[in-house]
Amino acid sequence: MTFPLAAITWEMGRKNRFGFLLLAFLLLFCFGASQLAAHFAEFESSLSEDLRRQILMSTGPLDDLGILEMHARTESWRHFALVSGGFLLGVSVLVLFGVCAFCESSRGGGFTGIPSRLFTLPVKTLHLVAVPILVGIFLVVIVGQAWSTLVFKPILPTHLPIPKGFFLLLFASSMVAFQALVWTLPAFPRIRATSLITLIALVVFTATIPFSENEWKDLESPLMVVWAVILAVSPLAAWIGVSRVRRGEWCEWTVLTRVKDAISNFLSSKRDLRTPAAAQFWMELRRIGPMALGGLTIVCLIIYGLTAFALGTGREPAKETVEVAFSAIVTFYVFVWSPLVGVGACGDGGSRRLRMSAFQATQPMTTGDYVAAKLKVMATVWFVGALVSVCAVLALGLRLRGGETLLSWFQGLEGIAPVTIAAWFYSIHVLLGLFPLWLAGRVQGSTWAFVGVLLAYGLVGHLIALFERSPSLQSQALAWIVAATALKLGIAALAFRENLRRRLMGRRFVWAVVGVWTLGTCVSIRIMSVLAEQAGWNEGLALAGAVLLFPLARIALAPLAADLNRHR
Amino acid sequence: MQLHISPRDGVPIFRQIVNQVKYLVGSGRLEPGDELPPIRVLAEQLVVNPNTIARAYAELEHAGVVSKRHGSGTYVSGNGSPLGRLEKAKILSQRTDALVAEARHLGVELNELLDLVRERHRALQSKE
Amino acid sequence: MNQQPLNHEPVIEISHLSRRFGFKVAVDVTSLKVHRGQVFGLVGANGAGKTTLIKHVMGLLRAESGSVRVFGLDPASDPVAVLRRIGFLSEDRDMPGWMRVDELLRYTRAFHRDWDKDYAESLRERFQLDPSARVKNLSRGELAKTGLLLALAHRPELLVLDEPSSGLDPVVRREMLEAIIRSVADEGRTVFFSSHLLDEIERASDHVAMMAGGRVILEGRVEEILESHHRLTLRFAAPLSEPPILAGALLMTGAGLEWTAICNAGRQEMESAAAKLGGRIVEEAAASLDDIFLARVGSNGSSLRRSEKQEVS
Repeated sequence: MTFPLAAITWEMGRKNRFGFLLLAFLLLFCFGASQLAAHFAEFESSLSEDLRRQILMSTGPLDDLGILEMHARTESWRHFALVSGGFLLGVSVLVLFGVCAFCESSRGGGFTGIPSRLFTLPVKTLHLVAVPILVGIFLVVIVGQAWSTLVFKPILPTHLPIPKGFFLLLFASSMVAFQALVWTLPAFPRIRATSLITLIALVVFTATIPFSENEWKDLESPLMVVWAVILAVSPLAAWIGVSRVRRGEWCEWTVLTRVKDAISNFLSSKRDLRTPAAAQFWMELRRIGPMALGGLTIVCLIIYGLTAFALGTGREPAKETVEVAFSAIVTFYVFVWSPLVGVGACGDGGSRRLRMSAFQATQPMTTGDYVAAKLKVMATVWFVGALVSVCAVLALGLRLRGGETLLSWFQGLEGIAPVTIAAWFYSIHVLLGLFPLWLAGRVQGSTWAFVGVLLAYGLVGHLIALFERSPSLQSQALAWIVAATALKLGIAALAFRENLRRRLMGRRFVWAVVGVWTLGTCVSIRIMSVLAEQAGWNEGLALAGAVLLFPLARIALAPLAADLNRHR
Repeated sequence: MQLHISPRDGVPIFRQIVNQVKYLVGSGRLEPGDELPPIRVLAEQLVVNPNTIARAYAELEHAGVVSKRHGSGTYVSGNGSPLGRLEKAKILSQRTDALVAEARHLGVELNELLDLVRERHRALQSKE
Repeated sequence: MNQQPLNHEPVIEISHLSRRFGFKVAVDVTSLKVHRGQVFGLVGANGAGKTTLIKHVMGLLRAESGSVRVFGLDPASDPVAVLRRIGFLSEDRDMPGWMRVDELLRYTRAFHRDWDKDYAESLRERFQLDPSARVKNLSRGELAKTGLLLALAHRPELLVLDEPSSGLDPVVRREMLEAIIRSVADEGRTVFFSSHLLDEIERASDHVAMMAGGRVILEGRVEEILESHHRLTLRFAAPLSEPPILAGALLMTGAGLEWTAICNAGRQEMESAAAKLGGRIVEEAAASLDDIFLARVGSNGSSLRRSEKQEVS
């Protein structure tokens, strides 16, 4: 290997030290969980042999309850290790994508392709492209292999054969396709973002196929071929694309620019913005509104298209296909789109980074106005997004109808309506995410903020699951929830007082937030009571938990956090 | 009135302005009764802080080169420059030093130099 | 406008301000006052702490110890009242790249009650800015002019400019400077600006503060500073291999028999000090701000090692 190539490799490693650390940490964590689960399983099996022997010798009383509890524990650990393993493997692959993207954040926000400073070095384009691609494939295969051996092998149920080769191929191909897209289209950030979202949706969709046995039998070989072709074509595309970009081509598409200008002329109203609050709202909305809603629409269209395709083949029962599509839309809306919009809205109006730019910080408006504008925009975008996704779900229903009425379809999908409403409601929680933390601007980069919120919600999910599984904790659950509610209200009260003392916000803001919270909490309690009735949950717990759901403390803390960001 | 400011040579800008105005008056390019541009206009023309111009005008007024008429502007004084002998010597001696040193370097005798000075003086007078 | 009485409360008042980033002292200023009507220039090498100081004035950094008062208020606790009266041009001109110039004007206008639409329009025409251009597509000069336009258009009492002309060509630099001077001349505005272009500082400002290593090492009226410093050339009887050490000399450059000193002591003192070492003054000239800056900043660190380099140039 010649020196420039070594330097490029070194740069990738050096730039992403924290990424590698995170990868190692995630792997270690899941390895630990997996080992524990395996250990319990082994313990249980050895113990049951002992017990079996005891039964044979008929000595001592049988402790059925003990065995049952032990079994429950084993199962719960296995479940924990599998779910967190699968989830964190996904996170790891995303982190790897980030590491191997080999781009830098650009001046106007967003990301470059291959940084143009490298173009001025005497390095062949082929090398410039080949090194990160090879490193990417190598890393993704290594990571996939490591997870398979260290995490999944000890705990995977033997009756479920996972096609490891297919997953490694999928990871590698998607990595190269990702790199090719990132590098060839830096001049068209929106087209690039759309293609990347499409790619990731496709990957997620493909990754679920092996788990349904019928489909997998038929689709295995065609899927393998498709992804192998992608693996072969992408490097070529990347090479050609980067050569063009390096020569200064592919940086403007006149037709597109003209269309964009026309749209922006149309959008830019000449009306005066009267107050700072109005101006800030306009700015934040213009900044994230079109992108977030456009992205959501595109994803819904993709899912709709895939569903239509699947319905056309008629392989699966139509109802199941639609249910899959439905859950895909809800999952995307709640767990991908909402936190992305949340993090995006917390970014700076100019630089899009979480750290506030001098331009924003020196506008003469109160920090409360700044936060309020962000909250209003989040609410607006969230609401329109909910409408879009509801429309998508309705469109699916219409597509399926074929004689049935829409209403009977909904009735046919038992319990889907309240679950949907609950999911949409829950997405408010995710949308706000770690709002004060992001507004404080101390997290480096939106990617990390996004990974952070995923981890936080994973943790919360596990906590809830833990309570659900262990009967001993359930008795204390109410006390815990009451304590958490008291903590939440206490923090909110203190934060509001501090906000008012520092004149970050006016009393109107406080009353508005408290009013919305009261309303939201009432709705949340109502939804929870319906859900609890349907699912047969403990109603007291569900209602108490509903009080925790709607954000108050996070909003109260937000101006204080933004103040930290503004006056460092 | 054309002035040229060069901030790099270490002479404060207000002094450059003072010297140049004195020169312009001395050489007759500014005549008694001529109006100097207002501070604001000169500041914009020279791209110099107006406070500096104001300081220069104050200095010129103090030296009697110009006089301020209340409410109308700054004019070149009618009765010539009433500088003291010492003051005059001080202004001229530095330039004379440079001239003498240059002449010595070029091998020009003092008498030749004085002749040259007289000749230039005549030329300047005939131009006026 | 001329020679304002300085008994007003200062526009900017900084006392005992110090700020560290990690172990590095970014700013350590005991006292700095900018009075109404002054054009105050801040000079310093890159990393001398100018931007950090300006960020404190704008409230972008909260004073960790000591105090910063602008119009008598703390800019970090009372941002609206302070920022309303300031026009600010930040060093990295971080205006939102996705906005068009007219949108940027419309956005900024909403924050200022005193925004003068006609004045903004005339400035935009003078700066030849295309209203439909996107901020991210503007050239560096256009970006700086846009920033200056935003800072001027609400006719603020105080103009804070962080490196208004860094990285600009002479034409744009002149345009910017003219606009600043015009606004000072027409409205008697207070200006606080940083620059490393000393001729610009000398033209535009009446007060300067030189910064090095986060400290203010020299502060005063421009002409007082210029008149209190001289450049003396000394000739010694025997060649010296090391720069001679003279009280009052800030920087000594040269070799052999002749050495040039930038000094802030009187001629007599220097003459007698040189005589002790067997030297005499052979030439005397005014020191330019450049000379003084190099001498002051150099004397803080490794001034004497500089001598050989200076000799070449």
